[in-house]
Amino acid sequence: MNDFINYLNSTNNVGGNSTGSLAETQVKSSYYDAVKVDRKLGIYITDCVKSGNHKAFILTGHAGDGKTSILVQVLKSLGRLQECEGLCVQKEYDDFLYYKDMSEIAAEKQVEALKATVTAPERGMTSLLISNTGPLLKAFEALIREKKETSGQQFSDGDRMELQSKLLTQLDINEDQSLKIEGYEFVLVNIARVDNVPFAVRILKKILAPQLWVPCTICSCADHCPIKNNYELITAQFDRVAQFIENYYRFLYENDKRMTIRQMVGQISYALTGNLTCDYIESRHLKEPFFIYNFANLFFGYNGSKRAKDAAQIKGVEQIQNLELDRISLDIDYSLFVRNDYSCFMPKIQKELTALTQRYRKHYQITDEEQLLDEKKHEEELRLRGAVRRFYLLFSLCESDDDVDHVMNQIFGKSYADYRKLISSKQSNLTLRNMQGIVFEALYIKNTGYLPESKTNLPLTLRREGDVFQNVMIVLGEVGKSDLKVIQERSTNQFEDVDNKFDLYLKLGDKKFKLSLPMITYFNNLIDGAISSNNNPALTHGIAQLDALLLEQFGEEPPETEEDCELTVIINTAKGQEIERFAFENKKLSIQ
Amino acid sequence: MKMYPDVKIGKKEYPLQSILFGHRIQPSQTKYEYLIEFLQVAIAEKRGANKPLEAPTFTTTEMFPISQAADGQFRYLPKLRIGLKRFIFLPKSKLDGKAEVDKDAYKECVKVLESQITGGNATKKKNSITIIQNLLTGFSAVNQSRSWFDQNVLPICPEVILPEGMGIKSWRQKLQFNVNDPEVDEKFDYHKYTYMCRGGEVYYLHLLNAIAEHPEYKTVIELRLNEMITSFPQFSYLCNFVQGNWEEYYVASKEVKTVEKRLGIIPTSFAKRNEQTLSELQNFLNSKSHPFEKMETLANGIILQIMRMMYLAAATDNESNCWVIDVNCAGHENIEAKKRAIAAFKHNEEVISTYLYHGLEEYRDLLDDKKDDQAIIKDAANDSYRLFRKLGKMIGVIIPNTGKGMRFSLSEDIIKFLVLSIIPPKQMITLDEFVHQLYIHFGMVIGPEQYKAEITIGSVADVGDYSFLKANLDAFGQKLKDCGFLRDLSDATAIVENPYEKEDSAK
Repeated sequence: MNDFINYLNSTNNVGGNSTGSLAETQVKSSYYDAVKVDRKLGIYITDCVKSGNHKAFILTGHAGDGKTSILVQVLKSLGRLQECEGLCVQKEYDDFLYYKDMSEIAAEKQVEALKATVTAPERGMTSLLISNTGPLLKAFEALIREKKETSGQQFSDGDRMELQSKLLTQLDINEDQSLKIEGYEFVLVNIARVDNVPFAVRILKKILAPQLWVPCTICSCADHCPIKNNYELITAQFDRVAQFIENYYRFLYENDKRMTIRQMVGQISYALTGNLTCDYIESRHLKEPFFIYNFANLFFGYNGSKRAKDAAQIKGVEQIQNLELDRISLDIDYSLFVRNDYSCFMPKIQKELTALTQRYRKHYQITDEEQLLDEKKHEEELRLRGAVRRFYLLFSLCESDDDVDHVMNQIFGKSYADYRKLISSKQSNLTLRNMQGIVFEALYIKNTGYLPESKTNLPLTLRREGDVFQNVMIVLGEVGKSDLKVIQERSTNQFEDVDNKFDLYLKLGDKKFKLSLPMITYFNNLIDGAISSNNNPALTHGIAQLDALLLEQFGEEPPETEEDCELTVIINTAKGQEIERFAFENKKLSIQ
Repeated sequence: MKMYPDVKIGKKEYPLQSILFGHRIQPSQTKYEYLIEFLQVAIAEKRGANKPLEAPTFTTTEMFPISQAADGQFRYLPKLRIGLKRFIFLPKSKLDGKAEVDKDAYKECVKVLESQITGGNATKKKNSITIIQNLLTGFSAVNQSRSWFDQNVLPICPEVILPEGMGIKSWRQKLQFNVNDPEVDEKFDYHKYTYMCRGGEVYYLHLLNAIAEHPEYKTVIELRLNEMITSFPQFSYLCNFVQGNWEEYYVASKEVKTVEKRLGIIPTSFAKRNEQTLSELQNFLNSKSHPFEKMETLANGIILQIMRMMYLAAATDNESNCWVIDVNCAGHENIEAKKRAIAAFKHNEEVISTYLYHGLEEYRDLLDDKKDDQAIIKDAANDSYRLFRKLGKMIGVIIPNTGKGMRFSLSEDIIKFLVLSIIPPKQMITLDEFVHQLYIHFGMVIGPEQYKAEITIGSVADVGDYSFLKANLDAFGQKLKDCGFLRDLSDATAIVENPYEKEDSAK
């Protein structure tokens, strides 16, 4: 019996045995200290208290993103919260003041709480106010209104909108500098804007710490316990599994489907235990435990080849099922499904999969035509293939990081790994130049309808939106390929928990355009022959913006007089592309 | 009812629908033609005078001459440039409308232009003419099979913003091409309103009335509209090259008479939207997007604003004529919202129908005595709420395109207009605020708050359970996110942003 399993099961919401994964409940658990991960913001606040450089902090963010955990971290490192001790709604020390949650304070007291927070540094205290965004905006409004009105000023509707826009902008860009409004100075942090992807692996590592699993080694069920099996599998291939998990969360993050820390913990712990308890494992005979409850299956919300009931309540499971990552065909498909060659796995999994194939062999051997058309059999085979792919995505043996990247690119998109490298560490010019090549080629195709071949100048054509056919297009300017520079810019926010974080931009003259993962995927699709961006409207306006920027930076100034005007047009003919230039002079048109 | 301009309506002068909803909107006008017709009035020379032969009290080329004619009483003189239109569209239009005289005129025109091209051999010259034609037809506004004189080019430059001149077959067939005969370019009927049905005039009158009430918007709106249509002077040069050389060759061009047009009327009840229309237009035009993107979105926006002001005209104290929106976002199907939206849509049409009957009673003495009530109502219904259906489908605010279950929804294109017109460039507001503004501006009911507000007015049915509206609101958030206008900020707070830069201030 291992009590830690119960703790893990309590962190997700599938089934009724959840004891609650709210930080204030968790903080009382004796396992909390074992799995918690310290964050830079917590350290920063602690330093402020200790050094006497008092500041006011206001913290917002998604539920489950670790706001309360930061408070706990500060209190623990100040030695003011004992193990298993709970939090108060608000508490004031000599040098520190906190409010655990603004919405737990009565509505009429919220403004007071906010005022106490922002004025705490004047009173020699560091303060931390945790709040939801809605009540915070309201309280701020009331606070500023009160201040203005007591000094005899008006607080107009315009002022209100401006205040809101100011706070929203800070919450959106999440600068680490303090904000000054009407004489109040405070640091407003939106933890939902802090990159939390690296936490997944740190938490996984903590969960797998050997001392937490000691009871399992002496358990009588050890030889048939799926949980222990999962523990061993992942420990044996920790880096490989961690890479998949991190890449998956990274992919979601970059596609604006960010997971909160609580959601990550929920998915990982569910994948480990399948919400089985020690009692259950002890008292029942589980069929094929190492396959049905394998980490690879549970992580995708499957029991064996079937979807597990209710597992999609876990956000990460829901998203991975929607993405259908286990249905994307892989380079290795032929050897996995036709040759049943499992040598890409370590022996333990090989054994498991070989046994599986033997059990289901009949499905793989289609002997007559009738069977070929049997939809049910076909479905079943597809489901099995899905399972094998899940194993492959999580456990295939990879000799190098490049091999792992190759696997990831197959499911997350051709340039995914390159993109990830570009945002996480400084890359060589070669990588940057590759990305530049992709952007150039895609834009060329988009602007002219042709492949660039060896051309090095991108014509900026005037096109209509949508699929209206234009075989003659006017050229408003040209950009040299070398002017489309892809650059990395380091993010300098000191509250970021990642050491190296970069943003990727396309530099256009003195402006820059942010390159996101969906945008790059779209560029790759264009190169591969996709026609329109209509399937993803998010991209259409991004691309419209890029077009506008390109024109602004590289478009020729509109001619001031007729004599200045040289008209360049691109003509798409059956033979290929032709360029013609016209000039106007004296009511005549000259061809050049 | 008072009209704008405040003229006395003669008996049988206008049908019922024109008195109630402005003169006039009809089904054959496409969305770009609303925009083009509106711009045509805006850029035309305007003359103050009551009768065509009187000396004008003023002449101006201002878009909205509120200091001279805030009452909307003037005539306007659009530029005709029929030679240019013939050059662009004749070779690629349906055979039916091609009279011999025009074929000849076209041939002559091409010959003249070829002679005005320097450099290159004969083939190259010929090709260049085709290139210019193809370049301009690429911007054709209507993809329908029409006669050449009924076609239009998107407003890529002022020179192509032209009125509709109908080439009446019996007139054209009698003519023969002769450079000295002014009838070659003159014998077109500019008062037929077949495709340019005056919907653009209705919008122009609304704007003029609005600016007369709020003159502070005049400068910026005139400036931005002008910028939008003059961003590509290249096209102007090209069009002038064609029309200029044609006029030089076709000597009778100087004798071709100008055309004077008068605006119709709109009900003064449209003034309820005056300030909203202007602030929406200001925000929208101030957002720095590509001129094309701007035109295409504006064409949708104009229809939306027209529809809303007409719905509003029919509204009463306890029938706000609000639009219950079924967001209809893939992956967020919401049967209850769909049901409510369908019911509300039916109710909207009942409200308008009631308005028609009230109007019939009130204005019976102005209408044709020979026509029976039923025929009048039938006509009025065809040109009002039945037409709104068509307009709504055209811009994607009414779904489905065919079949039953019609209801209000929001397409991606309209969402773009809404974001850009409600939120000033580069600013952001919370999703709740945005939805509230949509309610204030367009009477759109999306979330529980708006629905509850409508219950107190009495225009929607009280339902016990509002959860479907919450789901509807969530779906709207998702749709905005898919369009790239919304970001989740943190718990339960999302921001809607107008991501476009502000247009530079006046040059």
